[in-house]
Amino acid sequence: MQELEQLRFCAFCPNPCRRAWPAAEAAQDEAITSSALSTLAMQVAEGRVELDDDVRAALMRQDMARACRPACPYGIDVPALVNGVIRSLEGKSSHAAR
Amino acid sequence: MNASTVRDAQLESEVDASLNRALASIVGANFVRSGFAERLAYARDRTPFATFHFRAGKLPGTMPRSIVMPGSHDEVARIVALAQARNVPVIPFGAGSGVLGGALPLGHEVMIDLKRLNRLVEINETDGTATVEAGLNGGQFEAALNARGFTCGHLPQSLHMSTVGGWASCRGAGQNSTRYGKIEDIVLGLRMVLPDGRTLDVRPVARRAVGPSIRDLFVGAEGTFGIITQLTFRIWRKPEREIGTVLAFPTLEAALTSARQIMQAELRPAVVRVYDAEESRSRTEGMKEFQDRPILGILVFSGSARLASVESELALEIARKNGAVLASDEPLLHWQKNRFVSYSMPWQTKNYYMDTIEVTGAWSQILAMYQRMGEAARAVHPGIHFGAHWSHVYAEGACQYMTVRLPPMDDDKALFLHAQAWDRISRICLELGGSISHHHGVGAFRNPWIGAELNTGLDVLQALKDVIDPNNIMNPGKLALRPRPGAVTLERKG
Repeated sequence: MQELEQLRFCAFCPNPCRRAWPAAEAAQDEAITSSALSTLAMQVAEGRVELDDDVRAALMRQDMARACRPACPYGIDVPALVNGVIRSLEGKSSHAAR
Repeated sequence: MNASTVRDAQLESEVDASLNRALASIVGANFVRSGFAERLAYARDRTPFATFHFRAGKLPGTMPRSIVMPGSHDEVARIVALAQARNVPVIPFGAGSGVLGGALPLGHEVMIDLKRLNRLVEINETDGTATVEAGLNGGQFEAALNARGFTCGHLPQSLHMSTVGGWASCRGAGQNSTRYGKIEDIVLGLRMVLPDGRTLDVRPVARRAVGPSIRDLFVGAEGTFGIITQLTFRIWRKPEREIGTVLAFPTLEAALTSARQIMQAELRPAVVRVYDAEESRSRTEGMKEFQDRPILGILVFSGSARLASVESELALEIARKNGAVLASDEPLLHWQKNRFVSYSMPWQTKNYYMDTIEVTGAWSQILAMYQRMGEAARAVHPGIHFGAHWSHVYAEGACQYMTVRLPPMDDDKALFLHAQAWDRISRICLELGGSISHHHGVGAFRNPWIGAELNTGLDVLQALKDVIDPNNIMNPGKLALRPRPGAVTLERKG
């Protein structure tokens, strides 16, 4: 699958990987799940959400996605995909600035 | 706060700072969220209707006002009391795995995320019970029981994607429900916060005859009558043995007749699965047993080795009398490997419109139900995929679980056809005396048919709601109960 297709796949997946995130962790909010990060990154990549400082900070909350990566039944590396979207957009804006 | 698209939602920066400060005074500032990205994560659940909207950059309902994450029952009670005092609507949120919009914000509600309430309070091996907080992940709960040699027996496809509170709240059923029962058979007791902030304890006992069941008022209420914070479940020793059997049947009628006769013979299979020809085909490709017997059946018996063996043999006798032959294990192994993952993503990713509809029908009507619903779906669009399986069976009838999938097309047209398919199937179900929901619940998406499903029972539910929650702050607009003024409804174009 292409990178955007993987993001969409994860965005529409109901997070079976979430069981790998320990119940004892203080952060349990939905916004840090793999699927939520993928959804946000998908909306950014598709130009519907602006990559402002708040969105960037939200996309960088990757502890849960990293912990859940081994439990993904489809082998999708969400942090790598999300970072790829950020790099790609920041590369475009820096190119435009030149 | 009227955005209907994700883009507009980002442009709106309205924050209820006073409310957030008050929430933070209860749970701490670290457990209140109101940023755009954080609220966006709670603007959907796993309702396909929501997925269709999100992938097109649209909101299925509204953005939530804020998110608050309590860490104790007392904090939940204080949050609800605050919401009541300020007349702010709230939605309890587990893992958001519901597929009918039960956790969708429709009027800028505050989402109360319960996943910090995730402690396993007690396992009582003598009584065979486990008490657990509502926000614990289902897979983590089952793993903790397994480590002690027990199982809850409630193993839904969403096991790892859901919370135990969500199981009870939507009145769910697991894949082994034919033996272990549905969630209403498994919940012995619960602790709740009522809409006025008071606590209600349904103390766990094996049974009581003290008026109508208070417990059953809340199991399946989908958060409209209060917030479940703790549950006590029945648990069972892990089975000594599981015996799985794959069967090839000559016809669907033969397979369903076998399922009925197995149940009416008082056998206790853990799993009974019958697939129609459409769903059997992909699971049995190349298997010689299915060349002239195209219908796949899977049976699993479990428990003590001797008892499971006897029951399996008796069931096999019934199946053979209906023309079945034993087949090799591949379909069973495939199901076991994939039983806890969703099948929809490849289709949703490619812009298909995939949904599932589960209904309950009597044995005397089940074949007519299948045939008429299939015809109705195909009449909606010639390119529609319609497939069904039956995986929760009773002496009296069965759950018919259907997959309906429209091909990629214009979004507005697809939503129109999708709503038509739902409407036609739901009406046929009611006409044939069935129930329009076996275990997915109602949420908001099934609101249009609940009056016909419950008849004056809906008036009873509304009357109870009006007394328990006179300001209508608790997950308003769900279960076909009255919405709050100004709330959006899930747009129906069918």
